[in-house]
Amino acid sequence: MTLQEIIDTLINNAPSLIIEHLQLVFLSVGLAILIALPLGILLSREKFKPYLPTIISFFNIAQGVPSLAVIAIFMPILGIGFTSAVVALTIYALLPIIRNTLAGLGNLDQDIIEAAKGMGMPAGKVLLKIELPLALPVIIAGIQTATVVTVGTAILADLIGAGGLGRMIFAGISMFEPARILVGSLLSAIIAISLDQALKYIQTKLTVQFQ
Amino acid sequence: MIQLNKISKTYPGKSSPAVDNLSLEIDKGEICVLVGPSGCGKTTTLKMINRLIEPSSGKLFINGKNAINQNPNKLRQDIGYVIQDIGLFPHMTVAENIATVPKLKDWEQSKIDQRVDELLNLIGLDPENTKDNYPAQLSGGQKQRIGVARAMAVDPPIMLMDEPFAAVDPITRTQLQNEFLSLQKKIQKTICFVTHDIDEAIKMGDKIAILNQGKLVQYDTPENILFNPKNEFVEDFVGSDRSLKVLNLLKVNEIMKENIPTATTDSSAEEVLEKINESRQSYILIIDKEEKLVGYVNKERIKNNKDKNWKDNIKFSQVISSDASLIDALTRLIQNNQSILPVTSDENNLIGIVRLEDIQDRIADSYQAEAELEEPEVV
Repeated sequence: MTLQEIIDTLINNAPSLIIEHLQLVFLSVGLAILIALPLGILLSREKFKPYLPTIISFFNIAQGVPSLAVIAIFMPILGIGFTSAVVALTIYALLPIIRNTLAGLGNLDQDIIEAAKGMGMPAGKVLLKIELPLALPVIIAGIQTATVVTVGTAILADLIGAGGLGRMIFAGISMFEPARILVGSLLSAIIAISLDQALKYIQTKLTVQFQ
Repeated sequence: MIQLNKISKTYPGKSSPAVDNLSLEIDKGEICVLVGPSGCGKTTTLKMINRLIEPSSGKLFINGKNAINQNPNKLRQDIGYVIQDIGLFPHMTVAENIATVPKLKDWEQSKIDQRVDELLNLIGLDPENTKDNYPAQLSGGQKQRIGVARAMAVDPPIMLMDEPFAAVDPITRTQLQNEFLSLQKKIQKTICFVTHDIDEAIKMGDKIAILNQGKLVQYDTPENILFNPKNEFVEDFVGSDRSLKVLNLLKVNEIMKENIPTATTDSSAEEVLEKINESRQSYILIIDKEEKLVGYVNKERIKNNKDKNWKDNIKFSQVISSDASLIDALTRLIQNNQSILPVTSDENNLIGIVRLEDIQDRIADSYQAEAELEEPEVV
């Protein structure tokens, strides 16, 4: 492996694969947020409260299933390709977001919520103006986890033909080309760290610094 | 103004009711204190008034209207609500917190801004310095005042207060209680106030409702609760030091001596000594040209330091306001080892003095009343 090989790989193969990889990540995490956030809010409501510990431990256990297994489970059902990979990645990304939404909304100071209700604030406004803003840092932390995990798991998506940086890494393994393995791994690590930092920045911008 | 008619509440899965067939009427402009041991149903009762807890049975009338038929959110917007840990929204500024109910009622922003300033002035905080602060930047006492201001934002006729002063230190608590009582004189709200502290109940209440196991045991004036307890439970709850508790009820201005001899700062040492001799005391209070209290001087100290300016002998004295309770006055006298306490107005003008011996006389009087009360009945 020479420096020239690494530079060639970067210039010739990397750009389109990075774009594919980002497409996988953004689509999966985006869909996961759209599904997990409302679901998490719904499950945190009063009528589900008695079941909350059970629900949370279910999601904790589900998180323990290996990502490869999730992809393997969905392959026979949805076949191979991009769509199938997005579905599997979305389901895997749901878990940390739901779990953190539940934790964020479930651990709020009940006195604050009672004060809001006691002043005649309708339930919808209590959620939008009080509960969500206060739970936001924890919810965004869930999205951060989901994003980082998805960047890593998306490597495996190439196993069902979805492309992305996984293609570069698996090609490198089968062709004994260490340059491809190295470039693919480093790029996915850089993507993971950058997205994590970007979300952290968004969180500080969205949260009022009241402490 | 508030009428509870045979209200009961049984929580799901509980065999005995938390509140049992309770009837209570709170008149306009009165502070009614609900007091009792923990688990007596006082907080449940309070929360049924704004329907945070729905009664299992019974009727609730607010301002003559059946409150059970009304939209609970509309009902609550017209009832101020202050809770123990204040429940200020930590992610909103002081101004935004106070504006909560006005915004729900769709007030115009200019009207809201004006009201926020007005309320902050009313509770003695400077609007410019406080309104953009977040609750975490405030002291416990300030938070509590903001909590009260928020509850009064739309000037609701009724206020519910659930142990509002429990989370602050004793000195701040006394201060907040006094402030609230003088505020209440101006605003004349109908208030339902929950506490577990009988001293606070006696001090704050126009009427006291003593609850035990969900039942109303006695609903009466503080005087009657102290001296005509209905049964042993009330007697035990009030405690054995009734005569001291009476001091919670009495105000400084009831035993204050007015027209006391004073000397002004522009008198000479001889004039001051003469005035002390005239008054037959060992000291005299010193006021300035605007009748504001400066301190006091001792006869002995002037005599012993004749070569010095007599004004160097003026000593600072603790003071008290005329609407403070006698228990506050007594505490201050004992803490500072004084036998008299000057009474001053908010502007530090001297109004009179309260003497330790007069407080002692009042205690002796109430001991007598207590002794008579406890005499065995002749059958």
